[in-house]
Amino acid sequence: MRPATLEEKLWHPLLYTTRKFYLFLGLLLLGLAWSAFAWITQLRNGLEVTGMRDIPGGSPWGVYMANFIFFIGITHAGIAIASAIRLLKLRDYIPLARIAELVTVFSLLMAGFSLLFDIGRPDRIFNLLLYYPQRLASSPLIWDITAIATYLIFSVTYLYLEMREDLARLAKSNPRLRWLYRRLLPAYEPGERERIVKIVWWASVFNFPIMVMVHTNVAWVFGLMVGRPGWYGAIMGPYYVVGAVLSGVATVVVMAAAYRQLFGWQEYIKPRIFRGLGKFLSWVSILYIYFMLSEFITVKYAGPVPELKVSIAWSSLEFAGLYWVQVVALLIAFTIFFLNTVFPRVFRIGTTVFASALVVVILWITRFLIVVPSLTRPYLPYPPGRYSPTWVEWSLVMGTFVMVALLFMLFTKFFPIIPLTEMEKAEEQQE
Amino acid sequence: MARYGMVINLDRCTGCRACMLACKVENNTPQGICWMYVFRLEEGEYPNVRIWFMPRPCMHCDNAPCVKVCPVGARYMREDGLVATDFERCIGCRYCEVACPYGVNQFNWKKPADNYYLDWHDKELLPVTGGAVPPYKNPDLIEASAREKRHISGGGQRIGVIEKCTFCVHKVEKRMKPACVANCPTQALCFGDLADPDSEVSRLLAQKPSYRLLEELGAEPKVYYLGKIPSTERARQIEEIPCLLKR
Repeated sequence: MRPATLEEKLWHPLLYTTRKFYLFLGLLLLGLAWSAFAWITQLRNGLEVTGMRDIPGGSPWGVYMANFIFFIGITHAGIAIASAIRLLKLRDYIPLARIAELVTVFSLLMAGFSLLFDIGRPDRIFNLLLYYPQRLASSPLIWDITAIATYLIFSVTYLYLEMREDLARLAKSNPRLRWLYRRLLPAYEPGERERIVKIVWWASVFNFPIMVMVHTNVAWVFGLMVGRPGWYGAIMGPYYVVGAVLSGVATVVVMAAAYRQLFGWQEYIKPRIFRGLGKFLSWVSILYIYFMLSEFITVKYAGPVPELKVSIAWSSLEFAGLYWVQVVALLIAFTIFFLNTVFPRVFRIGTTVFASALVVVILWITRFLIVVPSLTRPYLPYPPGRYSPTWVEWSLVMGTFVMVALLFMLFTKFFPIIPLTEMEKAEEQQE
Repeated sequence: MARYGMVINLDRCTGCRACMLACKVENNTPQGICWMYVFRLEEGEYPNVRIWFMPRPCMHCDNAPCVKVCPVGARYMREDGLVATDFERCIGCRYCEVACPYGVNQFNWKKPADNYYLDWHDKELLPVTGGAVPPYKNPDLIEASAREKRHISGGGQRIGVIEKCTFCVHKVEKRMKPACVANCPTQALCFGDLADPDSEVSRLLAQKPSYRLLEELGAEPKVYYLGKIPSTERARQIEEIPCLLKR
């Protein structure tokens, strides 16, 4: 028997479906149904069903907002990694490119959903477009929406353009879904690849400023608010950008490891990739920890009394558990990344993936700790606010993660998750 | 053009909270929502204790953080200096509430009709009402504002929108005083045109030293306080108004 070609191996998940797939799909759909039920409950009763309450005594933003920032942070990785691969010609990393792009697209969608869950009148959502021109000059939330929309359009276009060649090939080898691929390929010409490579190169260049813009904008939603202790400050922009790089790249590491394990792609997604990304993450994670502690000291030492109260809430009151778990876990993750970098002999893929997963979870908590404590410590002598999310909030947050998993699964079934044409090109060049 | 503001004489305030009640009656705010809030504050340990009271309406800031951040322009400043909320445009993102350092914004978490003090669907009540008595609504709050024709007055208007102290814009437009000012038994509250040097507020400000809350944040509030030094961070609030909405 002849050995399987690259095409056959990488397109295996497209052509064959196991029973496990349906089982998992069923589970996810069940989770999604539950979240839909929670959302309907919220739409019927209003935000009363959440744990959020007004400022004397409550917190007007909660886990929806934390989830929003978290997903915006994740979006970073995708296109940034894909762009870096194409600009710096990192051949080993090519198998990651599309996974990374999808992380961007899907988490942008989930960020949008988180905002939609958060607002009290989702029926008036189009007011955002209606009054867009007059508010653009002043509302950070509008800047944010602008940046996200730009990024979404940009990343979907990017993903689509560099997938066209693969789709054209799939139309031949997967006749079952030929109608779908044909629909998706208007005006396809066999020789277009060269032009697309050029377009994608330029898009990769422009991607970086857009990315910095998105994350700085999200930071400004908080960092420009002089009326909330613990938020106002110039460090917020860089802090968020670094946090985004950290959580985004860590997510891609986890996703890549999952695909590698599930489909037995050990020879394509090489250990070298994990080493490289781990090395990168070791620097980013220590930078993030540094920013976090700088922020902590500023709030604790120099700020007015309300800011001090926020830092006390972080370090020794109701948020202390989360806060110190976050610091310790980030330090552990950094240590793992660092040891893997400086001692090649102790390097294990498993430890890098574990540290990355840890980072992803902790970054969600970090976002929560940025949003909520400041809102429960107002300026005037009000009692401190209390906030505990309800089942509806947790269900909807879970729903966003279920949706990401579902989208990834469906994409893998219908489209090539590894950029085959690009990989072949790279292999030819190496030979 | 008028520039409306308020002067609050803390030496006169007895902390009776009549203004809070007047506000609730006038504006029909639902349960647990107080647009006017009177702090009862104490400081020190026995026997050296100081107690004082501080009413806190919306500050109607000139450089209002809430106006700046609103993504749809539902929160805006009128020509007469009042900061208003268009409850027909608000999308309920609560960014204004987050941006406001004074904590004056109140969100309608619950359907307002089900959130008044008397539960009209209560079984014991039905024999009395015959199931026919709707909650009282102030008819003055129905119409749009006179000048810019936007729906900005009154509370408990819609679920899922922000509402806050309007300085009783519907009364101000008819040249009447806000409910809290009109009902203050000690005349501690004073409302008027800050731009007019002959108005009562301007004369009070010229006579006595005054300060505004959290001036250092630069929101330029239009509510001035006379007498009694500002509350320090050591002050404790006593007899606070709890949030009545269960979580």
